[in-house]
Amino acid sequence: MATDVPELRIALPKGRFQEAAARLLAPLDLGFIGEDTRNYRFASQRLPGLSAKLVHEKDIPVQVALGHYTLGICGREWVEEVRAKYASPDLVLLQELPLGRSMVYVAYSRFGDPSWEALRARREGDGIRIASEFPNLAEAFALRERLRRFRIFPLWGAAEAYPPEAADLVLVAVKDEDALAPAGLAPLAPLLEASACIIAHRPSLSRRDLAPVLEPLLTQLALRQTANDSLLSFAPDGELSTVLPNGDEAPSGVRLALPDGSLQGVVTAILDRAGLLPRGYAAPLVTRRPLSPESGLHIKVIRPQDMPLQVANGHFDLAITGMDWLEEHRARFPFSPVATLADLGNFGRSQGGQPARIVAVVHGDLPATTVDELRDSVRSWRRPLRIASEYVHIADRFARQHHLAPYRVIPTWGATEGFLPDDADLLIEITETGSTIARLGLRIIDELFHAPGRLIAYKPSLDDPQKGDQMRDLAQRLVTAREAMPSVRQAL
Amino acid sequence: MLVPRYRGARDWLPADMARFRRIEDTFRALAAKYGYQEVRTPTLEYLHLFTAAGTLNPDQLARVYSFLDWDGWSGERVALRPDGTIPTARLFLENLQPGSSLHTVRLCYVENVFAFSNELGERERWQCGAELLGGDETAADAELLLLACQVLGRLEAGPVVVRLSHAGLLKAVLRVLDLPSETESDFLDHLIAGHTTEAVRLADGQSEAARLLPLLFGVEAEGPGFVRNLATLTAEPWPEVAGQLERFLPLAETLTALERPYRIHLALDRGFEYYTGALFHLYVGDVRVGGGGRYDDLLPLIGGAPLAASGFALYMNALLPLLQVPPEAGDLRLILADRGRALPHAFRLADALRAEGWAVTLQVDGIQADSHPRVSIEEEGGVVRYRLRDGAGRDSVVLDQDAVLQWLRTSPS
Repeated sequence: MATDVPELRIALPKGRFQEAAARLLAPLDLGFIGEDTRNYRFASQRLPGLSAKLVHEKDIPVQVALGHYTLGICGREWVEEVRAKYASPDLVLLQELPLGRSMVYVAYSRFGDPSWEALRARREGDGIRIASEFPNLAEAFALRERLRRFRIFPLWGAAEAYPPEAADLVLVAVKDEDALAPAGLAPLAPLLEASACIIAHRPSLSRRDLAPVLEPLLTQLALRQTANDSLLSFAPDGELSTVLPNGDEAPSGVRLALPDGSLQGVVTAILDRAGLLPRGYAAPLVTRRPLSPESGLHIKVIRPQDMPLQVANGHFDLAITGMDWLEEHRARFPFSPVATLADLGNFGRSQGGQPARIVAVVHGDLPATTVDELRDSVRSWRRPLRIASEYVHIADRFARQHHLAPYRVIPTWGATEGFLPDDADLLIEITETGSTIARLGLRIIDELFHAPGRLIAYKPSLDDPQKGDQMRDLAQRLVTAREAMPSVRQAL
Repeated sequence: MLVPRYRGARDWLPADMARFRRIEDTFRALAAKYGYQEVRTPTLEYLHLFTAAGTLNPDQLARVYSFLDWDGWSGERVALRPDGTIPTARLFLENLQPGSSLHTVRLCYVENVFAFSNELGERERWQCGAELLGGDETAADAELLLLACQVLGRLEAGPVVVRLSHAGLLKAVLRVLDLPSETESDFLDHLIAGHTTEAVRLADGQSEAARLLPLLFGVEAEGPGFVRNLATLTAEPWPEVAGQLERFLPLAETLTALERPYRIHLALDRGFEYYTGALFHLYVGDVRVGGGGRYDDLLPLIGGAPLAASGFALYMNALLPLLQVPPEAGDLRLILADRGRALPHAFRLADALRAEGWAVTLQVDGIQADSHPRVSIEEEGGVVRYRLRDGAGRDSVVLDQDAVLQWLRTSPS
């Protein structure tokens, strides 16, 4: 007989824990099978009122702390990352899970200073640079260590690529300490032991009977552990890439950053045609420092989201990224010394070759087809407009420019479509064809800008008589190669 | 939808501002008489001014409001000033660093400081602060304490209780005990809470701890005799602690000689880490209304040469509820019977009256019932009439501005 569970929501992790979570949740009949899916919502057939949604793992602690979900499954490191900054009394850890055990280490380059003490003595006056996906844990570490001066560079990933040239310390999650050395890192301190965990919204835990959900889940966990289910003991993904020394912290010549991830294919094709493809860049990625095909050109591979900030700090002279991330950077730092050196055209892979574009999206049930109509609706609400986006500063600028007050921007790490309509009212999203948006019953109410590929440059380097000409020459070669290419889809 | 004020902030209403200005004016006037010059530091400072080791502790730093500026791509954070002393020390080093001939600099300020607090606490607080850089230790500490007490006395907030302790002594005890870092925090918590038995337990095995810790931190006393007694008792086993007590003694003796009552309680809370010598806390009843102390090590921590320094701050948010609202200044009402034609006459008369020192309020929407003197102005056929009523209720009518001024000059109100 079905037990009634009034309005109980679970946040499920999209990505590395997805399949294991599906297996643990099987007794709840959520219809969540764990495979990669574009479906974000699930409803229990066994417990009416119980529903679940697929959310990016990094977003789950905040969403649970806000009470948008009663329960969530995510990596412990993301819980601690939130707690390091916001000691939310509304977030409670219920159960550690034997999934994806890892350690978060503070580490520094094996190829730079001989010791942390030497590094600290040399760099502390200018500020120890700490790069990490865990900026809050990094700040807490810096304060606890009483660093006199420090600077935190929040990253989307690939922290191991930065030391020693672009960072003095990194915080990285690895399987164990042995994983640091191949990535060119030496451990300074273990910060945190992490694995997947079940978390709960504290007020819900104190008021509601969660046993109908927790009992089958924990029983299933015990059964799977007894059966030695391999899914419950896999190592964390995101293994660090191999980093070899380049022997020079401040190399002469031009420093170029290439993107990993979804842009890697098209950028590989452009570089190949331009005669600039470095060895070790073409997928599958084997190194963050591929071998440059030309002398005087030094190449690193990092996340495209992180490029504008790194270029602004002069860690790179050139970088290939998307216009979306350049605009996100400019919205945050309007006076940034980052220039667009070349338009590399549409990076989109869609069948029709449509360009990627940044759009404002609402749920189809919202009676607004334009931003003006949305603004009129918001005025009658008794709460702020909730805007969810990976592009936090573009979203903030959009809301300011359109006078959408009062509003709140909810930062997300992805899977943003799933936020509508329960957890957000408006999304600022990237899309090519808009087909996913339409299929999910969402509506585009504004197009902010097109987001082609860009070659961006550090302005002071462009003014450098030695580097400037080399940078412009590289730009011209890339543009020529891009123009000679068929559509991206064909090129790939 | 009404947008409420920011959580943890307060609105300063007219009655609050009247008391705020009274504190500020009293403090500024007295500080000036002691030779303190007023300065003001920026609300925004670089965060690393406060992260220098030994300035603010990690718990305090975790509550600092800091952010990246619009040109903060380098990751350099700026902070809303969380403390008054450190920025003033920075201001001194950057602008007023003495040459060899200048021995002492006295600075004062009225500033707000910001720190995150839970929902019940205030996140923006105002302070009247005084800092004395350079000079003799005992003379400086005594002067600052007397100034603080004198301000509080003038404000008539209530009987002031001065509690003294000594950061150098506490640090010396910690050095003697050499506790593991994870135990040190608990040890201090127990001392501050008055749980000396628990503190002794944590210092288990340390020579003389069981005997001396309760004496040092479990007794509240007054007068220099107590300090001398402790110095004598600690001289043999803990000479470093005795040295700090000897350093503390002249201040106790000076205050006693000045008949300035005080209590000695060596387990006062930890406060800022930059304190090195005498600490004083000021109470009115149970309300802590001020505090300060000696911070000889601060200037080198933020890039300056070593210099003796000491200071205090009065906590205006805490003081405010203890003060009476100052009586409203006497003023005068100008009432317009015919607002259109009489308005220019009213503005001219108001200017003339303000020049003579009156506070003048124009009333265009009827007569406010109060006892203030009033002038009603009407104009008919080019003739302006000024109907006067003084504070005693006597009436008169005059036809020109000079006559109004003359009548008010001779009015008994």
